[in-house]
Amino acid sequence: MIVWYEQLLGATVPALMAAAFLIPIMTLATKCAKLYHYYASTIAAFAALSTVLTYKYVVDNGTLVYFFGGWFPPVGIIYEVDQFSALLGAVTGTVMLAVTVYSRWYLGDHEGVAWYYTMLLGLEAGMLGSLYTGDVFNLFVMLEVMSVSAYGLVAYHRRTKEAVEAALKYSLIGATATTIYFLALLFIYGSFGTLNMADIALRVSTSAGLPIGRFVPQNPGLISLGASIALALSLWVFMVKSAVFPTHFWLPDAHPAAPSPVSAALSGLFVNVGLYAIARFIHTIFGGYSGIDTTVQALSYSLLILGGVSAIIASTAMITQYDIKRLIAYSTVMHTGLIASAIALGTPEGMYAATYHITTHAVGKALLFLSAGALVKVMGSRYLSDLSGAQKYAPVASAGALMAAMSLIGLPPFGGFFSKLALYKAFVDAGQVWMVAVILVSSALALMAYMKLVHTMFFRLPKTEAPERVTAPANAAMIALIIGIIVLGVLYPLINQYFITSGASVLDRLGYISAAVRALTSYFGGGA
Amino acid sequence: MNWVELLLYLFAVAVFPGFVFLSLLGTFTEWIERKVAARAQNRMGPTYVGPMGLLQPIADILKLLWAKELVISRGFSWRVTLFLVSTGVMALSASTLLMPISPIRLSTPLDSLVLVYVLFYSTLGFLAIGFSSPSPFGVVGSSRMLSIVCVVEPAAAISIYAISAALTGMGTASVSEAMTAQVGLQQSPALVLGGVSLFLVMMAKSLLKPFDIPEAETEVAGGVVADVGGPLLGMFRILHDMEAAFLALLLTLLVLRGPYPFSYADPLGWVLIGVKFVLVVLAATTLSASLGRLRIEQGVALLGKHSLLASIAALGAAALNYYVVA
Amino acid sequence: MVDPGTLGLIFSVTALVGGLILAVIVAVTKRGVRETEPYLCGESEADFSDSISPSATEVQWGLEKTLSSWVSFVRTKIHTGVIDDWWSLMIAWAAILLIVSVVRGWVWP
Repeated sequence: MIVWYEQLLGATVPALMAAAFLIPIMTLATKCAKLYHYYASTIAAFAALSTVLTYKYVVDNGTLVYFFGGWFPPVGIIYEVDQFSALLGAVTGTVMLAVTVYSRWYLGDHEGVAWYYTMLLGLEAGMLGSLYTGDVFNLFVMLEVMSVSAYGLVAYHRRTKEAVEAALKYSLIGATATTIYFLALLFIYGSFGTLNMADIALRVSTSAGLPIGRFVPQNPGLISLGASIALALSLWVFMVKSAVFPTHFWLPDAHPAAPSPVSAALSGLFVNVGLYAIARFIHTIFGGYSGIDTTVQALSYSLLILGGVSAIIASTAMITQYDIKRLIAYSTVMHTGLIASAIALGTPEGMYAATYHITTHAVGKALLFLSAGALVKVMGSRYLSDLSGAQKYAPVASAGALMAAMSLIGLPPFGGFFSKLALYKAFVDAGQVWMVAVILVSSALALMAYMKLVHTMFFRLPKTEAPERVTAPANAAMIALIIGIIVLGVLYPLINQYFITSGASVLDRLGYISAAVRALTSYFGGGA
Repeated sequence: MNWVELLLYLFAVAVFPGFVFLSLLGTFTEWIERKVAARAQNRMGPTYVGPMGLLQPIADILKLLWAKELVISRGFSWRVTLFLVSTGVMALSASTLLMPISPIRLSTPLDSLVLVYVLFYSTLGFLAIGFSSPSPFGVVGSSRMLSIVCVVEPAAAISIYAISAALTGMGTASVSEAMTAQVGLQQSPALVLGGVSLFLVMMAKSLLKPFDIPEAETEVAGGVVADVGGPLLGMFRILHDMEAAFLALLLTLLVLRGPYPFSYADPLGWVLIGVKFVLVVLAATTLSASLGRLRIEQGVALLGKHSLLASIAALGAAALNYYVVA
Repeated sequence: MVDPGTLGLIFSVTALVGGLILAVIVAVTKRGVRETEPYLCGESEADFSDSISPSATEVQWGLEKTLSSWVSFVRTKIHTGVIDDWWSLMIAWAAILLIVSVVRGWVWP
């Protein structure tokens, strides 16, 4: 018995993929750019609706499990969506809708529009698939889907040297990372004989496994070593994907080189997948395993410290930037560092803070990149000093950039204040008081960088007449995100609860396992 | 929150200890500063309005507020700047509700950090006024102010948090409760270090002498307001005075322990608060009158060493006391 | 007792709404507006003030000069822009992770 919401969940990612690969076929028939704009916006609207409905269903009814093609785990691939992945999925879906609508103005009649949307929809499919999947190998596939789309999108302006260089660097680092993740999968399969997340979690805690499975662990010592190595390797990979300190170098090159809507998707959403995977691996899958408890602790602690280092280094780099998009890209490194530190705490407060901050950062950063993109396109330059007086020509984009910057600094009543407060509370309650100083100092350095932006946009006089104006749909996309960043703050007393439960669901290992077991038993129509 | 509480809240924000009280206290602070600076230079200082010229700053500000607005034809919208400065004033007014002198006290865990973020509105007003003026002096003033703010804001935040945490516990860290908490000997290192840091923060934020770097090279007034006049300048003066008074009051109540050894219920305690407040302002202004201005990088470095590092040391002392000793 | 987020919300809304009211009062009660050409501390001034004002890439000068050694360390030692330098840091970190995982995962408790 499969009901409509499960169908919807199961359909979302394959439908996005199919829609993406339909575009190259469509190019054989028509080259009309307008068609692709409407087509991609429709698909993105469907994805936004479906992800939000999925989140609503998961909030009301608990973790949702879907067997692909009716194949049961551990043989088949399952989607297991708890509140954490559903919330991130909903954020991804809605922000991607804004990004897609905005792309219509940004790209116009550019010749490569069809290929752009192929990769953009592929990126969305990959991100949603990575967030929803309950299978570590499927995660690998979806990471590849999302990363390969991202490499292509970074190289979209293929006639500029900068984009090609950035895409090359990015793809070299990214491909190495995904390959190493494959290596980690070998260790996982060798140790546990399964690739299903719930199954692994069950085996590491009880060494029993799902009702269906024939693997019996022979040598506990070797399994612990294998799991430990797998965890270390995958942590490295996910740190690359989420750009935490020693593995973040590709980001400040790659994100600014991409077209601005893509930068918004990469900086606001792409890095979330890495953070999500870190949380999932450290807490849900390997969290309760006595054999590698010490490894998890050591890795968590190093992640905590590196997150702090990341924030300080990135905020220092921010103050000297003269390229608006590069400045914002460094800010992404800073915020992912803070979120990674919060995830590393492993406390309910830490996960609540991380979830809240991921959400406010995703909306704020997407807004900042979209606004910056509008300013860059309108003023015709990425240099901060050439953007002077931009508020006269692009008022909505300037207001958006201002509000996003204020939210990222943490000024109340924008969303960023409340998520930063949650971060403070999490670090203080976990006894990591030094992180309070780290957040404050890095925010102050970021303030300097954002004030450069605000200064040039609002307070300087325009030098030249701007050739272009922002159209209504693009403005609407930015206004929607502005409303989002205000709502995330002003409605704090109402929405707070959702972030608490979403964060807690990562730490609820038993709930994650039992949801899979329950789905399996009900699938076979009876108790097992 | 019923409507009686709402009215009381509005009264507290608008009158006591909010806008009216704090702005009067601010003009009094400015009077002390001007008097001390004048005496140090063998001048009289304000004498004309009120006894000993006590009402002179009020007269100055009222004159400015009722003056004609001077609008420079191609500058940034002065209405928006006025709004930003007013927001800073009201943020300061609202923040006084954390103090025990307020008829209603709002107190929550971690309100020390909330206070710092709300106070940032006043900094924003300071910065906006210089950046928005078309004069290069105003922009230079604000950019120097910004460099100082980047060191002073975290220093203020960390020291307020550290003191609150030392007195009320790491997880609570309520500045409101810290003002009435008992102090033991083991909390004093955090209190002293945080106090030193906060004192420097107060001097830097009130643009007192070694840190009045935004004024360098403009030599007119106030650096950031080199080319600002009329009501906007009046509002800026109110904001500047209120911020100085607020920080001095915070130092008095948080670091110098307010009415100690009396209590808030005792009239003598209130007298003592007044005495301590005047002493704090006198100390800052005397220091200011006897020092010369620093260069920008010297000033930022000095603040970094003696304010930011002191605040981090205070945080360390508080953490040591909380996790190791207690 | 409210929670800190709500306190921040109350304070910031008070500041914004109160600031708006205050700004309107001040703007209404003033005597009038006199619009002038740009001027420089009383001197009349042509269009050059914009060119001698610090631009967006110069406002951080004071802070950057104070932190110059740290900033140049970040710019020349960490963010070099050369992928080989990045690899050395990334691989070193991967090696540390592997060593930690082997050392801590080896012994079955």
